[in-house]
Amino acid sequence: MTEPVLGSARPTRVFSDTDLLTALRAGDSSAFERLVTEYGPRLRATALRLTRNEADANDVVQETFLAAFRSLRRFKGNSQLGTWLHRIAINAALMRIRGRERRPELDIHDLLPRFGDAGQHLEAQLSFRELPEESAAREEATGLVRGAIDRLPENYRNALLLHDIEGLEYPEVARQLGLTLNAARIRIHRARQALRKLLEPHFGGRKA
Amino acid sequence: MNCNGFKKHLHDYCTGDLPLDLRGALERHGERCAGCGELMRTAQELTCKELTEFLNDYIDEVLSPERKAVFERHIAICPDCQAYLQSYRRTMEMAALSMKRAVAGLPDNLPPDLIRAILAARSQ
Repeated sequence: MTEPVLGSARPTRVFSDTDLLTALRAGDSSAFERLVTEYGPRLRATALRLTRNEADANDVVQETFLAAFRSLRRFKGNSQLGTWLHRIAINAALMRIRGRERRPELDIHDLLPRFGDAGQHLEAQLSFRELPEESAAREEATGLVRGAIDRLPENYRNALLLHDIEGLEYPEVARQLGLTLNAARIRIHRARQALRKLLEPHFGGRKA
Repeated sequence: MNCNGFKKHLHDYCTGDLPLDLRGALERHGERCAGCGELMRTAQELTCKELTEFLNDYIDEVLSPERKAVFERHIAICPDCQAYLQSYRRTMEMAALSMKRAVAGLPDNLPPDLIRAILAARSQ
């Protein structure tokens, strides 16, 4: 399993989940404020990565907390509070993205590797250089990678972000995207392949 | 053809790019030389397409030991698949790092207006 990179809204805290939950269920107003201030920034970062829009991200954060407040009694504590909120935020962000008008997209098949009749690569494959160390060049390069991620077809971008960036396990990606487990795995793999293709002109170095 | 020539041309043989005369010479050497014959069987037990299709399983380390060994034998002799694996892994690393930097400049706190709106909505 890929290590979660940025997922799970889990800030440094002095209160345990149990203490916070008890206070929330008792209707303690300061506990609600604590929940919002402690978990909100990470949830906003997740929402911003998915929606790419500050206003939408703020709406997602608000929807997340309101949904969480309504469901507090049903939260069984099987996962950490941060993980639970993170899932709600992802669901809210995906709903928002689905409600948008679709933009013209690249065809995923144009971004996948091509093979000959004998199953061989049709094009010589290139290794990738590392990101530059120097600050400005690195900033430019990471911006370029983000631009390439944004060019992925939406369904593939979402799958990549959920698994490789937000750290969701395959079953949770499948659930959030309404896919079978196998379809989710394939979609993530193709998203990486497509992203690799988009990055090749910029980072491709030594020829095989 | 000797062993050095065999190793030099094996990749082009697998990709179908080797001229017919060299192809015949390579096959004949593979039949005569046990070591090169083994390399040839390795090259033929898995195609680049099959390897690429299941690359995520290899990366996730969910392949059986036998299947993993087949993958690694192929990668060891196929420069295209070596490059593809390296660049696939680097793509994942660069995506993670880039998206992390995308939100690195965000403030540590939510905007006060947003906090107030959330708490007010709860009270309604």
